[in-house]
Amino acid sequence: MDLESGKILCKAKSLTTREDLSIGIRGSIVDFDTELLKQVGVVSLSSTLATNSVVEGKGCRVALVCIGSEYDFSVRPDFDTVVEGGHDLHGEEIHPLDEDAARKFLESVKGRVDGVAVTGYLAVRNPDHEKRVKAIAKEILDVPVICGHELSSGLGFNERTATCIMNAKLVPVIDDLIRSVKAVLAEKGIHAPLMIVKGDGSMMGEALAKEKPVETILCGPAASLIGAMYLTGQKDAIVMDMGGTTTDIGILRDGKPRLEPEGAIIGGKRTRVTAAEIATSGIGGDSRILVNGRRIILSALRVVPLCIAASQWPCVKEHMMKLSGVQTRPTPESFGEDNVLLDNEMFRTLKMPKDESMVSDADLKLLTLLQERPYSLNEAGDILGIHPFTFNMHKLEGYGLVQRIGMTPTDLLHAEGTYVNFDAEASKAGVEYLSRRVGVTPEEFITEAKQKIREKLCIELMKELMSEEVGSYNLTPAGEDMLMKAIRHKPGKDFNCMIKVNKPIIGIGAPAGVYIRWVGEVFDTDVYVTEDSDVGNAIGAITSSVSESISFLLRPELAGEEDCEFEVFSKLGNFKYENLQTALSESERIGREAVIASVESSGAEDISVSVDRDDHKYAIGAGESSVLMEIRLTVTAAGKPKQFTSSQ
Amino acid sequence: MSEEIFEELANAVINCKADLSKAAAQKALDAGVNPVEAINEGLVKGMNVIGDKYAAHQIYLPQVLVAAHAMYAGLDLLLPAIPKEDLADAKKAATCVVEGDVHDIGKNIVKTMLTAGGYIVNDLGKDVPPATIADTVKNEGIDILCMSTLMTPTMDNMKNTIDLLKEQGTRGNCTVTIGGPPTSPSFAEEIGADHRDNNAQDCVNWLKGQ
Repeated sequence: MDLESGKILCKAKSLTTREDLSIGIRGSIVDFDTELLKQVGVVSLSSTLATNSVVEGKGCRVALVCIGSEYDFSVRPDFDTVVEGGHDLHGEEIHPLDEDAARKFLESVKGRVDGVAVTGYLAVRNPDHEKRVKAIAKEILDVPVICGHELSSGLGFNERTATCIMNAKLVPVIDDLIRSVKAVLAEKGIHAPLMIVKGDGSMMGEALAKEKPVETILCGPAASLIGAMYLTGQKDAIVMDMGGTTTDIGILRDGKPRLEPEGAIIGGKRTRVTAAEIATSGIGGDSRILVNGRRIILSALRVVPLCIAASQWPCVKEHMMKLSGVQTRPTPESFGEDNVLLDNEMFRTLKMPKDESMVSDADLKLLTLLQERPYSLNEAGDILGIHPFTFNMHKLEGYGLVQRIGMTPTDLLHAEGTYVNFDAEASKAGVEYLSRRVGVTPEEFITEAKQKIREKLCIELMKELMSEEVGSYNLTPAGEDMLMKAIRHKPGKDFNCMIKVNKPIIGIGAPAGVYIRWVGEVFDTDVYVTEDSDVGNAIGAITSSVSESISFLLRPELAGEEDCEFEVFSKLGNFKYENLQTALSESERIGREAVIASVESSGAEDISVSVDRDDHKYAIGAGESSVLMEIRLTVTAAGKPKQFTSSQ
Repeated sequence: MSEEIFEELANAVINCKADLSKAAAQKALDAGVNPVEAINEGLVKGMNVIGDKYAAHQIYLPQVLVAAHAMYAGLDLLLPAIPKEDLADAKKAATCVVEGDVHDIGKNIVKTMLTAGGYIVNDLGKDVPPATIADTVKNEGIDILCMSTLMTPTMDNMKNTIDLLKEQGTRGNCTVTIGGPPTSPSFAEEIGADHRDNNAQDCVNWLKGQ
């Protein structure tokens, strides 16, 4: 990409090769024009590789030293100990640090660990004990050591500790990735600096990434949001990315992704990693549409769309073409959606169970049959001489042994002809069959099903927006009625409701365009659609900036006073100043120095520093006077990555 | 029959008669009335009348306290009579006046109303340091924490306590309400409490609605 004109010069994609990362990386670079590669000034990497290793519990051996508190073991270290120590909320020492115990433990794990995590109770208010244990660890062991206060200044001992352990586990993983990327770049004669994208959408240099890999692992959503912003030019917008399984909703405010206020959840564990806040809802282009009794239902289950399956397997197409001859008669509603037997749905075996006793005999016969080619359950039942209700499809799908083929939102678009990329005939046949089961015309079926998708997307969006505004999404019957009136644009007897979303919506994903445009119509706002989310992610990665923040917490010695001593807490340590003015100016000065040094070491230029002051005041009783409780001062340095030029 | 006893219990509280309250409670037990019903339909109803009168400036605070005393006289008999299984899902509450403040009348009324409302109350008393409150929440598995203060400079300790709960990881399991004249709903929101109670009744009503 030409960073000055913003033009994309060349793009390529390749699948991850987990056994040897360099194959996939090379695969994606090989298609580039070699002449262009020589002019590359900076390379940016946005990888979710590390996310998978956290979820799968991989990584290196880690020793954990907790100071002054027990840990809840949400993420397990390989070795751990608790030593005396810890501070109070004012950063005063409650218990002296038991250095001997820490030393003894660290000696005992010598040669058995690849990383050390150190976390102290209330270390965000005074990092002294963590720093001292780190020094001891450095002295005894020759492995990376990370402290809780270096990763987060937020309260929450357990969350900080989990973050710290994940970070320590990830060091070799990210090291490996960076080395693979650099090796491939060197092969291609690219000597440009390498930048790695962080969870908040900004980037950092490789040295810092090796120190704090945990900050890189949720970069995907943030990069996509920044990419969406770049492609559409919208700095304040709601981004809806409709993929196969889910629709992800993120928000851009003033050019920055909205961040998870409590810290991201990784692999089901709450951490203090800053990352873009993305709401995921179970509706995508491949969501299953079924008919239960005479009702059309949209389920969260992901299936293979009929149009795709038909272009892949001739037998599916053949089966679909025969559907018009299948008799339908009114069927009573089934208790479970998964048990509804539909002739337009087919199954194929993904893999056989490791242990055959996991499944029943009938299921095993079915799995063997479905290995050859997809069949509908009625067909399979006829061939095997087993009643189709005998099969436990819900269980087999749960185990990931079979995959369902069926009607999806993508098929609806194919059937009506708005978006045709695969076999529209199969989609039409599916619609025709299902509409007969409902007892309506195919056109009516499409309209009603699309309406359901539109409503679902609108509800999911409002759920997200309202939850943040109100703190919960707990609709009373009146609230629900108003919301549905607004979404359906159907007035009541005496009143009507409208909801206006006050920022544009950016829709990502090819078939999603149609659906997201409706959402914009419903909420009376503009919609911008970008086609390719993957390239959007890469564009986000390269157009973001190198940035680093440090936050200071300033608290008056006497609550409510402004003319008194102030205590200041930060990851650089804690300080006391005689008044508010000095506390502010000194914190800003120290902060500036630290963040500028940090982004410079990451290879940034054109650095600008911004200072954000957030005063927390509270009103007393019913009166109008208010007093100062604390001030949060955030100093942020941001710059563009320094580019490599051949003259350098 | 039980209606009569309920009325006797309520009137004992309204008229601030500890001995009558005790006698009516005994009568309820002898008649085999469900103790939980006797508390709710009798003592609490009476206490609610007192609360309303106080809110309407019809009576003074000392009268409220004497009425509470009368209620406790009845409660002392009725509470132990509640079958154990009825208490199994009772929530644990802690009440306190935060460090630096000793004004505990409001807190005591909250404690009374909570007890009457079927909560198991651990009263930590007055001038309680944030660390002590946080440790109690953690060690005793407190579900509801009610903090109070009358003075402005000590309000900060409510925030300090909540900060400690966050650091300990117990904030998510515990509902926190605050009260006292200098506090306000916006203050509660600012420090991360769940609710600001206007008075003891408001506290219990809000908790029951959760």
